[in-house]
Amino acid sequence: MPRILTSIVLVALFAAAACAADRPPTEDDYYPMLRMPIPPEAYLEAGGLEWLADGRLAVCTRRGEIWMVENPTVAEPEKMKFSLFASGLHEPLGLVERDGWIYVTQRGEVTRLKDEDGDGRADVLETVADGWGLSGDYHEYAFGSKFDRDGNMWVVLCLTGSFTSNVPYRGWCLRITPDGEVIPTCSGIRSPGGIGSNADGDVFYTDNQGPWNGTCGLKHLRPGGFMGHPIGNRWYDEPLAADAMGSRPVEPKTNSRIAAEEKRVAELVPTAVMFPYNAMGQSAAGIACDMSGGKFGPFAKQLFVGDQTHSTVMRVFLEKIDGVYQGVCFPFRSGFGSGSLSLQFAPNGAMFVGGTDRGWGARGGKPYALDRLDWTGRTPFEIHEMRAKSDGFELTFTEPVDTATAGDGKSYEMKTYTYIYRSDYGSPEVDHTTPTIKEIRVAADGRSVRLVIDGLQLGHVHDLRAAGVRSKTGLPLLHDKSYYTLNRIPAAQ
Amino acid sequence: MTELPTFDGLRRALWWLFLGLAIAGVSAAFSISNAALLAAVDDDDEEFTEVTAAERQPNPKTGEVGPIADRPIVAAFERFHASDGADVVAGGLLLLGELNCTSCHAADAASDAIAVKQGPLLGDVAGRADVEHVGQFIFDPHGTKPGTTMPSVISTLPEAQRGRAAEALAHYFLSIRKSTFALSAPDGAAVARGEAQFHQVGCVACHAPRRELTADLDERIGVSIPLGKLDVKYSIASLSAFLSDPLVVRPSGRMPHMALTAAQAGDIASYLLKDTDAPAPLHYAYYEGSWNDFPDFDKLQPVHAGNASSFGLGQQSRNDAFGMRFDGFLHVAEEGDYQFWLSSDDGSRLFIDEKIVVDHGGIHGTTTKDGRTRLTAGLHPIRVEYFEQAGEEVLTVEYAGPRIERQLIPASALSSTDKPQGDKPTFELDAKLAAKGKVLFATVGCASCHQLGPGFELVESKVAGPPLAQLDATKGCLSDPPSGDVPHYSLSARQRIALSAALAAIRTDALPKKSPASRVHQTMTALNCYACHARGEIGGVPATRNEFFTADDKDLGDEGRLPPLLTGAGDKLQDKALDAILTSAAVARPYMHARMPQFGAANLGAIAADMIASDRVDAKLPEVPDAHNQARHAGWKLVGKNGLTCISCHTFNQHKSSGIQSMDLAIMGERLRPEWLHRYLLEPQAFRPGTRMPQAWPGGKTTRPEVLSGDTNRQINAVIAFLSEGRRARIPEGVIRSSLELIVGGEAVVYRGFLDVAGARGIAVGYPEQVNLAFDPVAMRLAMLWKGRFFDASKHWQGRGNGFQGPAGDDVLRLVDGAPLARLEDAQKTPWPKETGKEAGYRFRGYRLDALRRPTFRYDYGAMRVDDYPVDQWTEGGPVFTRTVTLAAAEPAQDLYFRAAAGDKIEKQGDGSFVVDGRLKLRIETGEDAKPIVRRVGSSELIVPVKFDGGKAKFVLRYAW
Repeated sequence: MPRILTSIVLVALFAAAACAADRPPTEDDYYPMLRMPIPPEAYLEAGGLEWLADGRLAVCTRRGEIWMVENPTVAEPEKMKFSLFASGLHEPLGLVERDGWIYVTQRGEVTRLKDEDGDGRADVLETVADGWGLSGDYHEYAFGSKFDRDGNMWVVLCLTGSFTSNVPYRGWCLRITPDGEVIPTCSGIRSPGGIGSNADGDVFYTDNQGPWNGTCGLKHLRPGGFMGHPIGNRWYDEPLAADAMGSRPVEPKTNSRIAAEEKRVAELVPTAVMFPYNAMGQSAAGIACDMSGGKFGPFAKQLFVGDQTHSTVMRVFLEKIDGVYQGVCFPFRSGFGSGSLSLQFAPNGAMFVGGTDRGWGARGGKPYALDRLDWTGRTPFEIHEMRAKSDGFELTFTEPVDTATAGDGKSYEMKTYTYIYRSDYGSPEVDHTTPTIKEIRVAADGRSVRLVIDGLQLGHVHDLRAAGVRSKTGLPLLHDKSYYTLNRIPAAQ
Repeated sequence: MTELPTFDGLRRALWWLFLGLAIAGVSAAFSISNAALLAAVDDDDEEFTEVTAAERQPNPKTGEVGPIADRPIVAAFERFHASDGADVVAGGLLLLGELNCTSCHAADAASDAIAVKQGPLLGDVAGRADVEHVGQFIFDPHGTKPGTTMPSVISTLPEAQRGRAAEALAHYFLSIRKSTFALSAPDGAAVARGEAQFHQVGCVACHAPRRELTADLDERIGVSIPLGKLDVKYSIASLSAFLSDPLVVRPSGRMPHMALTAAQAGDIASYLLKDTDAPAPLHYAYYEGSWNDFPDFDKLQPVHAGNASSFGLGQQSRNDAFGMRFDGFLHVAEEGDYQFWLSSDDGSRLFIDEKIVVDHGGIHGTTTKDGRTRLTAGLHPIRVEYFEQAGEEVLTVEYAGPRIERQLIPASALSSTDKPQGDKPTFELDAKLAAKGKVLFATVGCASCHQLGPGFELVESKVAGPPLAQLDATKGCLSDPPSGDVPHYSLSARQRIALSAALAAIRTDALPKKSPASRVHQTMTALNCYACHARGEIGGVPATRNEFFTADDKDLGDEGRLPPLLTGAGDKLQDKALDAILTSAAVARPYMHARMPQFGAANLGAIAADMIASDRVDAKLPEVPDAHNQARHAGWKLVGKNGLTCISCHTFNQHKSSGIQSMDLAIMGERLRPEWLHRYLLEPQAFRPGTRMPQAWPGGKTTRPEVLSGDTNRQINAVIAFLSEGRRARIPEGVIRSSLELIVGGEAVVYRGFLDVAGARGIAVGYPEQVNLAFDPVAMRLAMLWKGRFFDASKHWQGRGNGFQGPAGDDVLRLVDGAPLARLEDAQKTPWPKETGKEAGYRFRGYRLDALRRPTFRYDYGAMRVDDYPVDQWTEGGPVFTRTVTLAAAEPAQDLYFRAAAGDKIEKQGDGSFVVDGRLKLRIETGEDAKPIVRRVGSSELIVPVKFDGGKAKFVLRYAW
């Protein structure tokens, strides 16, 4: 054991030295990507992924199939085996296992499947819940979550179109109880791209640029909350909604700002993290939380969010101030094979990313792909967390910083902006400001930096570039951009 | 001469007073004494320094909001030069052109810096405008049309003479063009269409919106070019003719050609003149509701009402479940017997003198009924009532009488009022006055700005002032109040400052140097291009007008609805394309509602050449080794679904994408310069901030390494080479769907998706024996059977997958609609309930697959569990379905029936089977106590009593077709 450890350390040191000497480090140096060997008979537009208790990876596809992958974490792709478990499903976008059943969220229902005769293929398909409408528009996607702490599955339902909700609960989040009952949980959804929980078990989804969404964002599904797009609010009159959600919120005003409308519309939950359009992506998608306890590197308990258009995965750190979530996103990994749609961690810390570019092009270039990220064991030099303070921000780093560069005001650039909250499609960046970094305090251990800032802007993205910061060993940040959405300013401690 | 006080309140009071006089048609208004005027407004001495709440209410006549403008409104001056710190010299130069100062004061060396606005051609003015209004306008331009850029040229005359002078000029116009001007009332439907057009084609880029805004109202006060009181100036016909081609009478292009069809021009004219004080042929009222016969319209509240030009439809807001009532007076020239015909779908009836003449009530298709009555000469109240329940909607009203052959009742025989017409004094031409007017036209300065136009004599103005370079900016037009015998522009202090600054710059030869970029800016300012377009840091749709810019598809976002950014336009566009946009109304964005106006080549000057000179970047295309054909092929691949999937969002040669319909790729080649396109494709955001166009080569690197060795320059060259083929280009992969047929082998194949007949959650199953079915898991019914090929999934599995898909095979048989099971009190008479699905107590439970993967559909009906298991079977007569239905219940229901079929005709055969509508042969195996029943309740139905035995019931149906 000590010998192995030593050799890992040596390899790491060697690699770090090589990086520093020859070229700036790249994402590949820390999180190499393996393209999984999809057999030609599988058109694997992966809408949902699940790690099964027996060590297999399950993949549901937009063409309605479920494939099983044996040995998904081995180093040698030829040892993996793909087999078809089910077919004939309606564009499923959510997969989770419980008690030997595979639960899948189709457009029109949550279904559980089982292979009773042991031939490897499902032969029982039980409808668990179908308590929402489906009128036949392609926008009407349904994304299903993993089970929450109470055993409920959360389903987010896209609107009928960008501007319409033709049948009940389009534009809502519903909870499905273990008995298959439906509990309306949040309204105001536009076009989800994924759903997942943070380490505390609170549930988030991604919503996409469009009406009432100036840019894509990560939103907290606070039960009873209104997520921003009011067209689906007509369903507050449905008996189930009336019981669970109370009365209909007041209409938000168009051409406003979320921070302003939050004061008028009590139920409006501000977007926890706005993903600046184009800078971070164009189609926010699947969510996964690193619960591997460090097996995936230094980002334990942080969220990872796919972007379908850019074929990337972003990293998100969240904090809760005065009961409201907010936080920061960083670029994490690019170069996935297709449009990153579904994310899943394996217990060993591997991250699987499934993709499709059908209907919405993606940089990756392949019509579909399944990729695996493994952590090499070497720690990238990154901003680990960015926390709001009463007078600025605190940055923590994955490696100790060089005090001189980290303490130098020229190492940082900050600007802020936000988006119009409006009924029209999307928004340009507006209300630009340039705050002043008044003071920089580098912690004695070099692990954190306090930025004291004049001009924090509520409701704005704080766009920070830390291009000048170096690690103690002289490395630049692997990603020097970060975008913090400031919904609340914490009180001074 | 008494100078009019200039503060706002008095000016507004005067304006309203004149408005009243004008409407009353008192031509003597011209000579009303100044003292009387002042007396009338004496007590209105309040100064308006702030906008009060009442003033924010749109003026009901003009729709204008806010304080009445007290200065000539030049939109770009108001927007860019009227605030502190603005460029006053540039603002002054703009005003020198827009106020046409150079028509009296020679610009000489400064002429390059001034875009001159020529005044409207007046030869035809008596044909297009009410001459009384024209006289009133000359008498007091600023009071009649606040904000006008026309100065008062007779303001130095004594009051009485001023009235006579204005009158003389009006007579002069009448003498050179006989007035055919006649008011007519607008049609309600045209008004509604015109309102929509006015607010979406781009009129409100320059003029104030005329309906409620959600945006704050304050900001639109200054930048709106005032329209004045259109309804006392124009008739619908004359305004419509003007709008069809404004450049004919206003060659300056400040009011551009909006590429309106004649019908659209008429609609907008009708809307702008909706309050015209002219009697309409009829009044209509429109109601909504579903009726089987005439409702009591008196007790109903109309949804809307207004004028109508004839009996007939077209005003309705929807095509089913509505009613109309028309009221007016029929003008009968000769006493006699009259006959009336009503043709309608659904009901209609006609009253004359409040007595019914034709009654054609009830629900029916288009049929005709007639009636007769004797009428005396004179006006008779006439009323037609009409209602439509569903389906087609038709209404025509005809009549015949002495010397009148059967015909539609013409507008000329109808009037919405019984007041006698034509008592308004007509403006009789006075030749002596006209001759005086002719002299005035040349001597007071009219002819400095206005010509009569083609076909009329050329009038030389006798007025001239010193050249601009010699003007004293404290005197003449620019002193406050104007001094001497000069035109009165009603300039604001800011305007005076700007003009003075410009004159000083001219005098001292300190004008800014001209460059192509500054000339583009000068033209864009004068023509108010900035109201729609941003170029550099300047212009663009202001926030207060943003909501009026719309597109066919809101999903296109701002790029679909807002006119494009013109930064670098001369670099971006090919010479011909730029020319086509500026001078031929070329449309590249058919989804955008705002039109690109046409300003007239003369007014555009060299803007195209200047844009090119100012914008074009000297960037060469990188050298690539690929021949055109090779590049074109690679480009074809890159554009398609296996490449960069450009076709996901872009229309291709009018083939729609499966997503949004962004600009047609087939026109890119003729529009865009390759040198620009190459740079744009590398970094779309740099050229169009916020665009949804993805960066296909992020960081300059390819994402498609397999094409042309992954070389970015070669790939971009390939895309450009492909696009250069334009409409001749080969259609890329993914634009037209290829078949993705699901083939059924030894096992059944299940497909779930948006299915015809079976619905959005439909489940289709293809069986090994080449029969197929579709099950509807909402209504729990077997919806459809067919033979042969199973299903083509291409619609759902390519692109975004929108739409419903039917069977791939043939012999498609639709089965009975509605719920499968019901309790019937009386098996012969109780109608089958209409409720289905959850409403009727059903819940879908999923399905199980047998060894051949054939599903047993399972659902609950109340407390009963139902299994529905269709299997395919080969018989001598071909393939059939055998369907076993099993019910389980702890407490079996009584009077429970299963509906096996419904149709026009169900015949029992000798072998005990049933034939439904001559097509489906259905054999039902049940217990002896549960024999199928054929019954007729509306249609014929075949129902099976469900009899439980030990908590279970079972029956088998065999479908052959």
